[in-house]
Amino acid sequence: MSNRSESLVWLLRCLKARVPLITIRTIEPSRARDMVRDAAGELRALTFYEHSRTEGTRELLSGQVTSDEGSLPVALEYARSVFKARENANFVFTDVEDVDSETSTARHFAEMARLAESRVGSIIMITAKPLWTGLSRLGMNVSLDLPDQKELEDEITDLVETNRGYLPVSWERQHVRQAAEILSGVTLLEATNILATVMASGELNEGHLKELSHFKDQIFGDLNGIERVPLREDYKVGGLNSLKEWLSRRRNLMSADLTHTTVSPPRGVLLVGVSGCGKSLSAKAIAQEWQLPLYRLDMAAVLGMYVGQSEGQLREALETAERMAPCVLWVDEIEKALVSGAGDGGTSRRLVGQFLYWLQEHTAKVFLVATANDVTSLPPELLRKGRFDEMFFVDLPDAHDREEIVVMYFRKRLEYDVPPDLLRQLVDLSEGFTGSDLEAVIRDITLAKYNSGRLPADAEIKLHFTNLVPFSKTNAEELGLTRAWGLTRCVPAGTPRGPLAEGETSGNRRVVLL
Amino acid sequence: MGGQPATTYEHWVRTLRDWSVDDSVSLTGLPPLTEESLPAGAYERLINHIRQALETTAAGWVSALSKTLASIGDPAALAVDLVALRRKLSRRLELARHPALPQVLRDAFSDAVDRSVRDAQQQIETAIKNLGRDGHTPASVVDELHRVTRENSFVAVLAYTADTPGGRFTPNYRSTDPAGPDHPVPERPRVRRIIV
Repeated sequence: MSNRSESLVWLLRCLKARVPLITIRTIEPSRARDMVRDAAGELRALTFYEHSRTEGTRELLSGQVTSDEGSLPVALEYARSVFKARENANFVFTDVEDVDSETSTARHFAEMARLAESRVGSIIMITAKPLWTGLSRLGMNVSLDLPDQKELEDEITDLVETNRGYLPVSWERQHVRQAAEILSGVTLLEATNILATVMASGELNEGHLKELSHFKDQIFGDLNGIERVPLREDYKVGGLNSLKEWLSRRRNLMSADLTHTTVSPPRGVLLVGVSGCGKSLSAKAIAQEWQLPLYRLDMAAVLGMYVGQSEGQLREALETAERMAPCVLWVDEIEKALVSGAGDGGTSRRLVGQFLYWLQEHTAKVFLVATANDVTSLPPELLRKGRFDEMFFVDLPDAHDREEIVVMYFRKRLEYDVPPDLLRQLVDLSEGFTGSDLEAVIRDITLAKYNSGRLPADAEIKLHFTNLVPFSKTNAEELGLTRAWGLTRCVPAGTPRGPLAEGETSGNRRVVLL
Repeated sequence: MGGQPATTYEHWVRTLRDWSVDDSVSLTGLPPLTEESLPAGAYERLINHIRQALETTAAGWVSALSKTLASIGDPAALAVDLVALRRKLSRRLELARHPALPQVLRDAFSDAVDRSVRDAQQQIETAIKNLGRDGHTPASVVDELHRVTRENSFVAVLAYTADTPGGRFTPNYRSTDPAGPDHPVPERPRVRRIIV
């Protein structure tokens, strides 16, 4: 992959070397065509013709039409006559189909490339797909990457400055840089469309930066395996001091320009812990806190039924996530998708390998938040130091956090402020409850109120709490294993503490307020 | 038969004989032909030679067309075949519209070639239609074949012009002289202006 300026240098070298077939792989044909036009402008002694199915064949720099016929074979026939008539001619072909395998079109191009070679000519093919090997080996190939930060900044600057006199525009250089960062991963045309649509509101101010993400989302909205998670303004995180401190030290790295530094953006965290303790909500809270869009990688959608399909879909989903950067990517219950085991023809092992490779090698500002309940089934290589930036353990809520959660749910569901005395008793009764347990019991009380038309008496409320068998009791063994594992291998998400005695609960956990 | 042709008749006949079997033979340089330029019998015989040459060329072309029709299936291959057929078809125009022919003959031969070109186009379109009816070829392929026959229509050959008097008939490619008067303004990098 090369950016535009590197690709232009490469193209000029190929043209000067009179390479008979030059292939530019890109999903942005118009951007590649502009680049070829720039090259043609520098090599004015050479003539360049361009073919497109809509406009026929024309001289590239002047735009003069030489043949109205859009048919590709007709254009190739014209190229043949030009190559025979003179040396150093160049033909650019854009929307060529069926050249990725040995088809008649691919063979036809191969013949033309050989003719071009004998007449010191060049054929430049702009294509989204790789060429048939028999064809590509006749020349040189380059992949034109999506526009980088600098190219996007230049494009945005042009657009903003062209319209500054006509619209109230308050954007300065730093806003342009931020906009370029938000729009990274989209094509130049998509970036222009998004920004122009934002500007069409009648002005351009700092508040519009957020709108760019929204428009960018629409482009990626229907992609397989990646789903945008809507965020609310009122996510608040209580407890989890270690995690919060860790995140705050890295927040700037996700928005800063790291181009000329040796610093890398943070890769991500693994949150291990008890079911129902709000690990998943942490992902939302992080995205909300960092003001970044949150995407959920749906592993169920990624897993395919055919050999190789899952790997292909995971690759596509991760590439999409990179294009969405900067963002938070949430993988819920990662152990279910990357479970280590046999019996699936090695698909899981390949997925783990692919995922780890991406985790280690990607350079985009994609912050991964992976959550896991059953850590014992996670492949050990995923847990090796250095895969994630950090692994945090989220434990059961302590008394203080239970109090917060009880107060919150009573207010939210029953519109009732629990009296201090009752609250203290409920906190005691809910020892060993998870956040989900607390929500469930208060939901039952809400139902009782709905049926009887009045708030249950204190004794009845306490009875609801007493009757609920919490997760820590129904799954005591599993909980014990998870906690033993998490407390020895992970950093506590809350304030660090010593090892637990049997039946003891940890303190300093987190609460996600809804 | 070697050496320089001695008469107009001989020049024409010898060239026609070679031209009808060899694609590389050119018709440039044929002497102008009028009814008065030859004895009455010789003129009639020469017209027959011309008709014969056109028929020989047409027969070769029809044979190539039949091969194409027999193997229709791959739209891209069909497109390449059609363009090659157009190149061969243009040779008949070289003779039918030759400037050395009397106008009346030129009109008659041109009309005949014109009709035969349109018939051939019709023939190939019908063949593709039938292909769609037999149910063995997917509708999307039939649509693609139709598109290809329209994009590479034989009828376009009728708009070809001779590169030199009596020479090859080629598509009417326009000159790309940058100093020419009809040149559009070169494209400039586009920056969008928002409509306020």
